[in-house]
Amino acid sequence: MRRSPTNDCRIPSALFLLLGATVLLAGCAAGQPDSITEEGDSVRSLYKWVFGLAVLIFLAVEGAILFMAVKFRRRKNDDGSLPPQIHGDNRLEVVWTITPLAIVLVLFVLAYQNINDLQAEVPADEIQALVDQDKALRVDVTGLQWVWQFAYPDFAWQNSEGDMSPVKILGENTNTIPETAGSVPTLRVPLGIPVQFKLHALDVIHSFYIPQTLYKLDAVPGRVNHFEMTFTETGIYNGQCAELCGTSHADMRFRVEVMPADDFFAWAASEQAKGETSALADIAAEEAEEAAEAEAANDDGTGTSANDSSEENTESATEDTSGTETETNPASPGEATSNATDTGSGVEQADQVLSERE
Amino acid sequence: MTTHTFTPDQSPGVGAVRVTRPYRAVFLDWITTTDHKKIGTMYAIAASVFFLIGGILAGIMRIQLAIPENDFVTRDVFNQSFTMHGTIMVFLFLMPMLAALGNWMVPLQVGAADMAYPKVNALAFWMIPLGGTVLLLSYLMPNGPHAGSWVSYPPLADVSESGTAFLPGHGVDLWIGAIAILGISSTLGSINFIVTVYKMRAPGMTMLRVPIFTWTVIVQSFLAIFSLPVVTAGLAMLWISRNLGGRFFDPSAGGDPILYQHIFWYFGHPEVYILVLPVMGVVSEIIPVFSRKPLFGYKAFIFATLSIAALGTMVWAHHMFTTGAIQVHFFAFTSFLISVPTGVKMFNWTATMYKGKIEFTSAMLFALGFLMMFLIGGITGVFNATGGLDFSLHDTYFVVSHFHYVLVSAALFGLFAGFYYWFPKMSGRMLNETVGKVQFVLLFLGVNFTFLPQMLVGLDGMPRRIPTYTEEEGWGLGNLISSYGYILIALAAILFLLNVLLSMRRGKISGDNPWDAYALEWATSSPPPYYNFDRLPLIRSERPVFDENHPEAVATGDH
Ligand SMILES: [Cu+2]
Ligand SMILES: [Cu+2]
Repeated sequence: MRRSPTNDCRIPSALFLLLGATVLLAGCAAGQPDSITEEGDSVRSLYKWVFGLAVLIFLAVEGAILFMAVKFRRRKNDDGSLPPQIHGDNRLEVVWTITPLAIVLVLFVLAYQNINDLQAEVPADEIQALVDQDKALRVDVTGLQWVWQFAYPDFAWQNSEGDMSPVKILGENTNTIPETAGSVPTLRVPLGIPVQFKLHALDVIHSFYIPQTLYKLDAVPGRVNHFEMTFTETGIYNGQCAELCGTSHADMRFRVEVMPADDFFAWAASEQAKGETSALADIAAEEAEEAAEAEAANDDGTGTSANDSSEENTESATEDTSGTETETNPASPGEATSNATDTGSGVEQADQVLSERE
Repeated sequence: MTTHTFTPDQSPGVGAVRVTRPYRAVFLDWITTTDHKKIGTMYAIAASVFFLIGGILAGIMRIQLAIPENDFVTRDVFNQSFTMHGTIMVFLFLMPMLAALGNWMVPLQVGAADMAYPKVNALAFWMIPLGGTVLLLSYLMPNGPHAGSWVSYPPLADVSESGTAFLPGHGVDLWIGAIAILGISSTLGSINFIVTVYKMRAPGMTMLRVPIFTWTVIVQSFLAIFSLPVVTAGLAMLWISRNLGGRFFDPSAGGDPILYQHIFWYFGHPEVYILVLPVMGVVSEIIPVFSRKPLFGYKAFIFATLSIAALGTMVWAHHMFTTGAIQVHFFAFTSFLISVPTGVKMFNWTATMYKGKIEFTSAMLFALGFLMMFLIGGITGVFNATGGLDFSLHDTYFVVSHFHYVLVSAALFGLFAGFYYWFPKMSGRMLNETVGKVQFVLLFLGVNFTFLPQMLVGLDGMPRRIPTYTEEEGWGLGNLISSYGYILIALAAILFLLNVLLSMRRGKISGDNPWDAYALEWATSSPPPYYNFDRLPLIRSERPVFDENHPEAVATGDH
């Protein structure tokens, strides 16, 4: 009736101990990267609590399993009698229901505080005042297949079309499988003041993830998700899309450069000034053109000069597009998605602009 | 009745219809059978075939990721591989394999002659190869199979506003069709299990004397009935959006992509318990038998199983914390709570060994392996449940590692334990124990070598579902170790298949109850006759066979 007993438990127990130790060592070495934001510090301290408790529970339970397995193994000289048939103990069941419950309630209190830290934001009616004094910054982040684009709505100028055009950082679209190293866009942000991110998606869901901030948030079509971070370390950090978004999902990389606030605002202001100058130049060029066209019409020599002017138009139209192409409208998600088809190629749009003008 | 060998046509009444054409007769017998045991065996064969396919797909991914900036496969092939790997392992390996054990053991454990609806049972089985074929057919389509991951979020899996699909071709449509077929199959199977246990228990077997494995199958079945039709409906909406302009998930038409995520995860989280609960049942059969004691806290265990199921339907949005559309506090709280009944189970298993006389058979080793690995899966789950930490961990390899610790411990440790334990009952022969121990060592090393490094690169920020990463990122070493670990797991799986194939013919004859086990399936011959039982023992506890074989324990009131 009974099989030949396999009493030798030395191999399994040694194995268990060895692997238990390995798992534990690897676990101790495990950690998240050092955080570079205030919010990340909150996550980091929660992580330490959870990790500490996890190690304790891991050791206690694995230890108990190993202890039972080794201590109560069937011995070589076993007489074949039954061990005591213990069916359970209600007091023990209560104890080991309440103990884990107490632990998770404590954890939940910590987690609750942490969630609040992550979700805290400067109130909407105060942000404008802070922004005006350079004590906060707003960034529009746009994800599309397969590139990230960044815009600073508070650093904008009136372009030749009469629209507001913000300072932008554009990645190169990676529609063909790319050598991405050169085309990774770098988002610049200031150190030590709140930065409010608004996330837009033009086609499918993407996720804005900077591992060292210990935070990510999805960019979802039809929603504008937002969050706030205060960076605490200068440097250049990697970021990457974290939600599968199609073939080149892995190539949706970006960098974040955290700069001293003064440097950042000096840079942003100079970009804004550059934009203003070129917008003025555009307007002047257009006025000059119109005047020339009017003159040409008066001269009645339409043949060649019309050709010339259309060439010039192409140039300025292309420039214009690079300015407006990725403009996002945080207020209206519907519009944001309707941009999706336009953003594919600047050339296409330039053609369209051209044909409209003609 | 006790000299049956594992040849299918020896069951009285069905096989060997035409002696002159035995192969055809055997073939006809198998494809027309409504015997729960044969259907169980066919489930196991189908699941094994799909396991090999899913495993090869995992191999493709591990080769591609072994070194930075590898170009073993294209980005599209990689995306297709993880999509099909996930789908196949969940719907075509784990669920059918659990159905195999359920089909074999549930009627035997409750003392029934067959399932309540034998023909529905056969139908449910034959939908598995059908669904699998529909899914694999997509490899023959112009743009290949679905590449949008097993969650298939719109808009990626949907069409754009202008009607062009983000993922070209019909891979997604075939995928939707396959999941619908497989979901209906599981729903039919679940109804069958519930009715069988409710209506066909042997005299004396009250609900509180039903073996734990059967209990977990019942609870699993209820979860399946609650959740599978929901995802089938959601996928129907996705199909209508793709093909008939439904636009349920398109914000420009007033739809919402988040809606799909709610529907999917309302199914997706209970699905985890659909996959894990019966394995907990398997382990709860094995640990008491090889400790020579009853399960510690039988009723507490049932209550914990019910609590897990109930809480399991209230935590789905913890998969959606980073969408920004979720009340994080609430779902963090419910997710924390679910660790309490899971903890109760861990303690009950551990306490079962207390003062026992433990024998380290292969089945027991795998059961202990399940406990140890599942604990890691459970603890890492707490990190995600906090909500705050999930904002950093979500969609990274930490999560991949976490749910592989849960599902691989269930799928490999738990199921291997189950097969080493029940193979004698199914075939009348023992599996080779030495091979079992070698296999256990390989698997234990393999799982940790594969998934521990994934946890570390995940903490360091490596996103999941990426076909490549740069050297600068520093994830190369972890991925390389992980890929070597895969080889160990593959070896363990191959050893198991060889063990089964050889032991079927040459294994040691086992006898009816080689483990001196407790539940009703051990009261009949090995393998059981077509009608299952010649006689039933008196059922006065959850261990009728033990009571009969050990009158000394019953006499002292110590049963
Ligand atoms: Cu992506
Ligand atoms: Cu879940």
